[in-house]
Amino acid sequence: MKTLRQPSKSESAIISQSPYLHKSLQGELPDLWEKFQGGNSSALTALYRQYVQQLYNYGRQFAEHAIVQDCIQDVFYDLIRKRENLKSVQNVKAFLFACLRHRVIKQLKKLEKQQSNVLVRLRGGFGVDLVEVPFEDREVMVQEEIDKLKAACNQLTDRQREAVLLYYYEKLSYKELTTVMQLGKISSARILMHRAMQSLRKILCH
Amino acid sequence: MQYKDFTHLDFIQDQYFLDWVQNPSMENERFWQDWLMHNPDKEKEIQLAKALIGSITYSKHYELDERALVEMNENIVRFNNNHPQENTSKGRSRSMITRYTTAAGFLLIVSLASWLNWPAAMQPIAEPVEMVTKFTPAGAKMKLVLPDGTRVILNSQSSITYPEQFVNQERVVHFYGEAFFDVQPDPEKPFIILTENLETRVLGTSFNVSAYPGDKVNKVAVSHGMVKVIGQTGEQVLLSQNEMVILNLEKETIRRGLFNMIEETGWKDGTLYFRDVPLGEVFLTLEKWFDVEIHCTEDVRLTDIYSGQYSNESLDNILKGISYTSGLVFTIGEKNVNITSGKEVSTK
Repeated sequence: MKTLRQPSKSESAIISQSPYLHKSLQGELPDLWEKFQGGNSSALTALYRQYVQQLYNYGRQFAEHAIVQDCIQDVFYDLIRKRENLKSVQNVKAFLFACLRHRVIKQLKKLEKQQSNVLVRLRGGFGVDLVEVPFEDREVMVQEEIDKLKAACNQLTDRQREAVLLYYYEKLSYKELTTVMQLGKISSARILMHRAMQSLRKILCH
Repeated sequence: MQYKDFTHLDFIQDQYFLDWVQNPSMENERFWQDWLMHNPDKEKEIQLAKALIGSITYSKHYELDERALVEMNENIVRFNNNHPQENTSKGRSRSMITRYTTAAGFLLIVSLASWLNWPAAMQPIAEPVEMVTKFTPAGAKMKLVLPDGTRVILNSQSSITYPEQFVNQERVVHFYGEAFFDVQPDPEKPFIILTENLETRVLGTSFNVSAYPGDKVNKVAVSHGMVKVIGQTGEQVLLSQNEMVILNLEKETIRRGLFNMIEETGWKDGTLYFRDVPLGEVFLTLEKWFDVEIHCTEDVRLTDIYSGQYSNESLDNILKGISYTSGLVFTIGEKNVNITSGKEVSTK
């Protein structure tokens, strides 16, 4: 017989990793959306925590802090209001990005109309940077090449830079890109990216 | 054009290549490794393309600060509480709305007020005040009201020490074990709970603290309002509704998570909730809950995982429930329980 008052070392190791601790949010992502639709308010907070910083960073490329903060809040209010009708959402991130973009642009247009002499729209959003990533062969990408490409990227149009960042950095597919940027057809997204790449080549060749 | 004529700019435009870089799978990994073997001269272009894809980022990154994050979460949760699911009956949902509206409005004012009145440094001033200590033995729970009106429910084997009157600038209580606090709002006097490893500052109202001596993990879970938790080394975490902080004393990590309300605070309403918990831990909880000593034979696997939920059940019924899934055999004595694996005992 042994008593449980003092668990052995191996047991306490297991107890210390007790599953009482809530599993990390990432692990629960797949059904977060359904849980949220089912009215689970923890899932709502988890969704918010998961995406709020990404949304904020994206929104700030268009507009100033106060506008973006208000719009993000409105996006979540809309989600709550319409939660029953959102069954078909496949990619939550792309959906939230699309909602936010729509709201921010609508708000900017409204403000520009109200105070036509004040410029509310931020210029130079979606600046592209190339960070140095550690990879095996340091000689492959020399600083000069990085700088050249960075400069080339930043000569693209606003929309092209936005598409490049959404596609490569945010990892959206062409289909999701179409939704977020309201391009209508997937082929338009492909064309947008293709034009961006063509311009890059042109700039780099000179 | 074929892959062997590609430059790095072609590769980064190629969907199949991008898939490999961003979502490597068995299949695309095999294809590209194989392709590289046959086209070793393309290694440089491939490396460059990979590096480029991984290095593209925004030149300006924007981040919301913690305060804005919490404020927005509060607003969203409040909005959610005012918009219950449509499928609830009309009359009921209306009464829910009014109830939540008053509560939430109140909470918001309190939390904002606490923020505005947050002084840079408020050291408690030592005054000769009588201290009161309440302790709950195993198997018992206690409801008490502190001099400021704060309601506390102490779980078993827990202790709280507080002054007879809160005369200082801060309402400080010393505490170990587990308790649910419903703090009387007072923006002038922050409510502070000191445990061995945590300082919990209350900005809103109700939350659960779990910090038993010897526990590897301490937890603070917030059901309403805002709470600031400060670890030993000074790291601070601001929590709002539905969030909890988990302090792991062994790994010395402090992290934020969500929690299941029943799981964390169900005990105060007599609910025992186990979700994927090792049997060893289940037994330890039962020992505290029912004030019994549990003994078991060597062949009982304490690491087996158990899940179950019991509301105001007797020890007898809970053990029956556990034996139903685990096959263990329980013998209940006056103050102790013996557990065997239920398998044939070897002669050894």
